Order: sequence, then structure tokens, then C-alpha cells
Amino acid sequence: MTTLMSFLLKTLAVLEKDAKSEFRAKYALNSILLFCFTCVLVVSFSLRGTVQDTRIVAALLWVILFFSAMTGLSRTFIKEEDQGTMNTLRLVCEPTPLFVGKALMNFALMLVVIIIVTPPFVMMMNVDMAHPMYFAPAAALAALGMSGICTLMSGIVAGARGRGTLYPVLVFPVLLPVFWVAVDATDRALSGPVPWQYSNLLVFLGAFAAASYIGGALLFEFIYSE
Amino acid sequence: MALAGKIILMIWMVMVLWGALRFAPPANILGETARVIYFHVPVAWVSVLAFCVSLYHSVQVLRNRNPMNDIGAEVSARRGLWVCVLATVTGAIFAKAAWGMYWNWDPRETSIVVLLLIYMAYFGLRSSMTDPDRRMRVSAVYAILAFCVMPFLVFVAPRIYFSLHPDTVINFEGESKLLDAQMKMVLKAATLGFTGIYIWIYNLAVRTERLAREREGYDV
Repeated sequence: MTTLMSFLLKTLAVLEKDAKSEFRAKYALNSILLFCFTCVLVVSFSLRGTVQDTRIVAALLWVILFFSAMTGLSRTFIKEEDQGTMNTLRLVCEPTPLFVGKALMNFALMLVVIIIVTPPFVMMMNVDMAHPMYFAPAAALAALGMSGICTLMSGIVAGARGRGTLYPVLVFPVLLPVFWVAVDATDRALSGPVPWQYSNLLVFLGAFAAASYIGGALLFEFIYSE
Repeated sequence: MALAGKIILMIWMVMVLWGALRFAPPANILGETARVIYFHVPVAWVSVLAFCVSLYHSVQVLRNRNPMNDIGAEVSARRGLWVCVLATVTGAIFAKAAWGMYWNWDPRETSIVVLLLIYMAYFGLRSSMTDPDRRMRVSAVYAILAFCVMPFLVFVAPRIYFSLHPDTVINFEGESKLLDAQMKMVLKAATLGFTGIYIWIYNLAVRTERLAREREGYDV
């Protein structure tokens, strides 16, 4: 019980630290949102309402979200290495609460981005979100899976050369199952007749999110220790 | 002993070639083109085997940090990657004959592309690290994480989405409906032969890599 309490307190402390530093500098959120809005405008301008196929719209939305995650979430641990605070973190926090705290912060960032970017994207692409109540859990679960993987990968590339280009190369194959199913679920939410019959897609995304957090928490220890 | 093994393997592979091209009867609908499965299925199996061996060594790296396990993981992943390319190419040839297209993003085709991407990224990651200890740990973590994702692609996705592939990838019992006795015999012999070639190449490559690292001054 004490161990669980200590784990929760440390996780919350990491989350609070990152939330405060993000609230002050708004580095990740600003860069992700600016990137997303630029992409939405570029996509909308180049297509100019010619695309009505919901599959293509869903794919474009997730391509934008994927690459926005690549710009913002890659700095989770690189930031700590650059500022020289990584060793302090090693002294005060065990690997698992640090990983979970950082991943939850990334999850919150992705969630904010999805909430802010999806409505203007759907409007500018001239399609209707037929089933927002199906899209919401699908997007949230996909963001959860993405946050777990992106956080671990950020720890992996923190000590590598050429990490800017290496990061998406490492993340994409591992995130592909989420990407694949999230595009499909978004397509169903935009057009599908009865999306709840496709609840197995949500189960898939939930299982992937759970696997990414459990696997990440177990493996993070080995890249965290020096 | 080793020489006898190599001679037996060579004779075995000659027999497999003869069996695949002459002994096994042509398939019912696909005819002679179906013979590519005697190469496609074994190389796909060997790539899975090589990646499993690499996974085993990656787990061992995290447990005991032994550089020999790092060599095993790298060498097996590299051979697995090449065999995976062969499986993709032979699969594309068979897909053209069977379904009329070289590529159609069938769930199993998607999973093999992801496997190729993962292991290409794995080698990208390895080459970006200079510190041998960190490279060993970090690449092991990536290999294990990537392997954890594979069940979602290999087992779950084909059950959610429609797949053109037969459900039985490496399951000879299930294939009894699809293949007759001679075909099954050749397929089993080819799988055994290709596994033997993998073991031989793997041993050679581990010894070569160990010598190369010793020459570079690493403690192996």
C-alpha cells in the first residue's frame, strides 16, 4: 500500500513538474499546435474541398497528428538531457513513476491537440463527424498508446546522434498498429452507418495502450540507469 | 563433424530443390507457380526464427549485459532482415500469381513490411550510438518493444480485417486441407533445410563478429 502511494505521489510530482514547466514555456504545446494548424491549412488549401472520401480525410487527420506528435513529444527526455537535469531526476525518482508521469503528460498534450485540431480540420475538409461519441474514445485510446510509445522512444534517442531524424524512423513501425486502426475508427466515425458494431477497434486500441504502458514501464528502467 | 554436417546439409538442399521443382506435383489451380511456396514458407519461418533468437539475446543483454549476447542479437537480426526481404519478394511473386497483384496491403503483407521497418530502424539506432554499453542496452530495449508490438499485427489485425492469406502460416496440421502428402513432405524438408542453413550462417557470423570486435579493441 505504501509502495503504491509512493508510486502515485512520485508520478503526480513528475506530472506536476512537467505541467508547470510546459505552462510556463508552452514549448511542446505551441510547437505541436502551430505545426498542426499549418498542416491543416496546407492540406485544406491543396485539396480545396475536392476530397469527399471519408477514408482519405481520416488518413490525413492521423498523418497530421502523427507528425505533430513527432515534433513535440520527441523532446520529453532530450529536454532533460540538454538542460542537465537528467541526473537530478535519476537521484530523486525511480524509473517507473518517471516514465508514467512523463507519458501521462504527453497523453494530456496529445489530447489537447486532438480536441483543438479535429473540429477545424473536419470543417475545412467539408465533412461531418457523424458519430463524435465513437470518435472520442477511439482518439483518446490512440493518444494513450501513442504517448506510451513516444515517451519510451524519447528516452531511447536521448543519447543518440542524429536523434531528430532517428525519432520518427524508430516510432513509426511501432506505432503503425495504432495508426492503422485509428484511421479506420475515424473513418467509421465520419461515415459508418452504425460504428458501435466496430467496438473491436476500440478494444484493439485499448489493448495496445495498455501494452505500451506496461512494456514501456518495464523497459524504461534499462535505458534510465547509467 | 562440422564438415560432415555441411555435406549432409548440401545434399539435403539439393534434394529439397529437386523435390520442390520435380517431385512435388503441381498445385490444382495455380499449377507450376505454386512451387514458390517451398521457398516462401521456409524463408518466412527462418526470418521469424532469426528474430526470436535476436529477441532471446536482447532479453539476455538486459539480464546480464554480456557483449556476446549483444553479438548474438545483432547477428541474428541482420540475417533475419535479409531473409525477411527474401520472404517479401517470394511472397510478392506468389501474390502476383495467386491474386493478380504483387502487393495489396493484406494484413500479413503489412506486418512483414512493419517487421522490415522495425529492423531497419534497429540498425539505424545501433549505428547512432557510440558508447558500446548504452548501444547494447538501448538496442535491446527497442528490439524487445518492437517484438511486443508484433502480436498486434500478426495475430490480432488479421482477425479484425479480412486477409487473403490462409490462416495457417506455420501450421502443418491446418495445411493438410490445402496440400497433399508429397507437397507437405517437401515443405517440411525445405523448412528443415533452410533452418540448417540459418544455423550455419549464424554460427559463422557470430564468430566473425566476435573477431572483428576483438580487433577493434572491445572486451568480448
